[in-house]
Amino acid sequence: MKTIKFLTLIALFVGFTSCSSDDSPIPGNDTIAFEGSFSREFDVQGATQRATYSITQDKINYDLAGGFAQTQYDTAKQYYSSGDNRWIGYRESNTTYYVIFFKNVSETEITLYKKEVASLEAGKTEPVPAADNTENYGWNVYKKNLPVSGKVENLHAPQAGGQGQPTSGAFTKFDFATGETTTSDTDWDIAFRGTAIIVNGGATSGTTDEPARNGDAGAYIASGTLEGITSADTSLFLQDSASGFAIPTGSGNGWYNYTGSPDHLILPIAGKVLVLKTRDGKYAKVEILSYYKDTDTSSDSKHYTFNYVYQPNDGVTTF
Amino acid sequence: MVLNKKIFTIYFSFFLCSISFAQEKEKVTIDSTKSEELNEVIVTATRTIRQLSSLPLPAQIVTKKEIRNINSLRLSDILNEQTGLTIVRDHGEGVQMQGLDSDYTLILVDGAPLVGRTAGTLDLSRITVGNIKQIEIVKGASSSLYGSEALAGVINIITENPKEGFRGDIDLRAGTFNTTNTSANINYKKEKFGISAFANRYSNDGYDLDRSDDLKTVDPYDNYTFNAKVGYDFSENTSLFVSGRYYTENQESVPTAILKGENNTNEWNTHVKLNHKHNKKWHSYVDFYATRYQTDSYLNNPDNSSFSESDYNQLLIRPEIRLAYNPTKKHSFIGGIGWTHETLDRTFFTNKPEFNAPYAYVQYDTDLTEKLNVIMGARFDKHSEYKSQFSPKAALRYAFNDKIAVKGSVGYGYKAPDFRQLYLDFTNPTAGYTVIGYNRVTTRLPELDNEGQIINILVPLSEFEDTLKPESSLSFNVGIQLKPISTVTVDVNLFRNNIKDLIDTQIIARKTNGQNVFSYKNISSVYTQGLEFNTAWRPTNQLKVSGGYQLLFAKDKDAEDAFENGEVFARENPSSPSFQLKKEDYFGLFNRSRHMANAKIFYTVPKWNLNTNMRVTYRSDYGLRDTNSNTYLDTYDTFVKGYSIVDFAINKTFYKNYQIGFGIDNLLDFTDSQNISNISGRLVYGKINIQF
Repeated sequence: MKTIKFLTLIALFVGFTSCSSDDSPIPGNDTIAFEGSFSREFDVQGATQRATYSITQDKINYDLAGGFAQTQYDTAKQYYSSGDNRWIGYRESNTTYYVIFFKNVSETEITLYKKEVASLEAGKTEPVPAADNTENYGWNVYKKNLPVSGKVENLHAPQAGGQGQPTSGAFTKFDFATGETTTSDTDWDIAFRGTAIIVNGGATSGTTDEPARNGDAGAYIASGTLEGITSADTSLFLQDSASGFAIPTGSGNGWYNYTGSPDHLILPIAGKVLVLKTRDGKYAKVEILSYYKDTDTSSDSKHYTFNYVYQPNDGVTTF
Repeated sequence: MVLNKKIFTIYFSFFLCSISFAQEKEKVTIDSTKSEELNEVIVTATRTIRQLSSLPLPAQIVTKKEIRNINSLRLSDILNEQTGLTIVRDHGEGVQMQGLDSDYTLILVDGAPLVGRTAGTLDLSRITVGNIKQIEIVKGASSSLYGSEALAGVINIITENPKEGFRGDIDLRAGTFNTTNTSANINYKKEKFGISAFANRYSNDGYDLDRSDDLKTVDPYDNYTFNAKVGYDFSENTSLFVSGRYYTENQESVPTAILKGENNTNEWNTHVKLNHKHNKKWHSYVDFYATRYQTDSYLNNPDNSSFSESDYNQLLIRPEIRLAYNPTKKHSFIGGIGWTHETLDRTFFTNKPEFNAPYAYVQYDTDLTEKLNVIMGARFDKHSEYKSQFSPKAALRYAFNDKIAVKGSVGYGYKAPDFRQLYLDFTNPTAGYTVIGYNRVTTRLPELDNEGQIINILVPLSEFEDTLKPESSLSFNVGIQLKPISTVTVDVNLFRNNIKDLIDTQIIARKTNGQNVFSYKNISSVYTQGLEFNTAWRPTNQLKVSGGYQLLFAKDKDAEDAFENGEVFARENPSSPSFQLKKEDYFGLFNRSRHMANAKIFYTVPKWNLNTNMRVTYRSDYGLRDTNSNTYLDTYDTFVKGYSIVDFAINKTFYKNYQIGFGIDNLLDFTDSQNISNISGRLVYGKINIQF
């Protein structure tokens, strides 16, 4: 009984102190001023890895993607002090605590250090690591809303017909979220057949073997370098329709020039960037580099090589 | 004193003798370059006989002597050696003048226009130089006298007129690639009646610059030219000339490994001129000119079935009356009225278009003072198919003294839309695109739409209700003529041509087969500007050294704006990422060299009856096409390397009437199989000429 009384007393005391701190914030429950998605890319044994912290007030989601290792988990917020930018979270799935220290916080990036700790208390007493501390992967810079950059080589887009005859054949579909081609009827953003590029948005134009549109993708062509086009202008997006594709076909109309006699080459026009909205409303940009296998104009045509930048964060138009 | 007087008389008569001897000598060397220079006259610049050296316009002459000494065969050969001119191959060998395409230079024979620009270029290799008296080149817009096409300038080929007596000559030249050229001239004139006839055969086996395939760069061809002139003087004041020319060419055509065919060209011209001198002040001329240019080409499949056929048949008829009035020596008026009728029958034309264009012009040439000469002129062309044109021109020359003179001129030039731009109706059988002439769009495009071939129309039909405007230019020339010492001449001319309403293709509709429908539109404005420099040194009658140089900037104004606004991008190589270009990265129009130069030495050894010459022509780097996919020519594009051509010739005369010659064209054997198909490599030849 004595023990119970003692515990009640402690509980009352704790309750009292909690109530009494209404005037000044409770240590360890400050508001985080830098919500958002922060990513960094790095190489591990030749594979590009991408680590992303998606920070909200009550949790931080950690996502590691790439060719070498993949993982994803939530850590629920237990403690945050804006004074020394110390955040402690609890990962329920394997009952682990993490302490994360932030510094150099700005509109576009943060620098953070993450360490696994035994308990909440251990996290609170963990000293702030020195700037040159390299344990636990050290301090790293994470960019806010860092888009995904990639290069696709030799995407084969065969077509039957052409040269004045009706064209046919399946389109080769591409999904920005995975950075891969796909045969899915729904999970694709753009698709290629010969020089024609369609988007998964709008209506079919009526050409043979054209896939149905079931997304909200769109496109427009901007003039500039891939680096120079830094955001999508949402007022400019077009979708495919019966009167034509969002990305126009024909030499000089869209992304390529036909050189005519004697070489008869399809060459991507310099300074044309395809700005795209994906089927689920995210944004991407593409610069086509070559229409020929291994970028060799004497080799087979209908093989696309392109650089792309994809913004995986919802509603973010910059990339 | 008496003695002295005698001595004086003897001395004086000796002196007189020597003078008369000297004069005798002067007569012997009648082709002295010095006297020649003073006697050089030109008719093209003013349509009157005018001394070249006092003309206020930039002009030059290529004499028969030069043509003979360099053993030139075709007009294209000799023009390519003149300062500021270069031969550009584009559906034939055309001449680029003051940086303007060959479409914009009017080519005349004895003042009458040649026709047959199947794709814009008038092929100058079809003109033999065997019966040419001189070639006159006038630079700067000259539509005030000649109307359409005289935008960059005019080249007039003056052929020989019958001369007194019976004479003739035969000329044979044979050389590399089995090139043979045979010419014969016969001339007879006695009192009132004169006649001359000329025949030429030219053939070669073609040549092959790229031996990696079975196709030849130029297929074998042969052609014939016949020319006859008849002159009759009714009286001292009235004379009649009738001339006729016929040209025929046959060329094999093997464009691919499996297709075989032929190209045939036939052309004739007739020119009737009646001149009458009413009195000392009034002179009238009546001209009637007609010409037809006709080609037919076919290609057959290996099984002899027809792959393609095309033909072209253009007719031009032009009567003209001209009146000259010279109230005093200082004033000269000339005016004319005429009418041009033109038709064209051509594959890919649904109808047979007809042009009718009456015109009138007037010109006043006056020496306001002894030092100041002024020419003013204007021409009005009314046309059935496009907007009427008024083309004024003014020029003046001021001579400070014998050593220095300045001149300047301003003129308007235009080129009418051609038949193709107005009436073509062509669908490429393999690629599937369609080209419709401007005047046909409003009827043809709805037809295609009704046939279900059109996805959408991009340019509303209402834009084709107005007439297409002629391409026009304003041309400025300012020059200085120097003669610091009697053996040296220096000419410098600055030029600027502002050309607007250039006609180009635009996409007007998209087809269901993914291809486009094109038509024509007045789109771009370009300018060409630069400097031309000519100098000659004639230290003795035996030696002439000359040099020429042209600096040229030829640019599209929209392209300049696009570069300035940062809208143009390029790639380092065809598949590397693009980067933005700066203003200074814009080079200019395609196929223009910034620098062109020539140097020539002509040397005569009278005691051996021998003449020899060496000529060098140079062209700096130029771009033939866009190689980094931005449609513009920028400094990151791949350029055709600059090159020099060296030619050499030597001729010796025996027994007055026999001449043999030897020469090497393209001595250094320059070729560029990738980019330059009309330079064949070294040509070694021999020549025999017999006069009677």
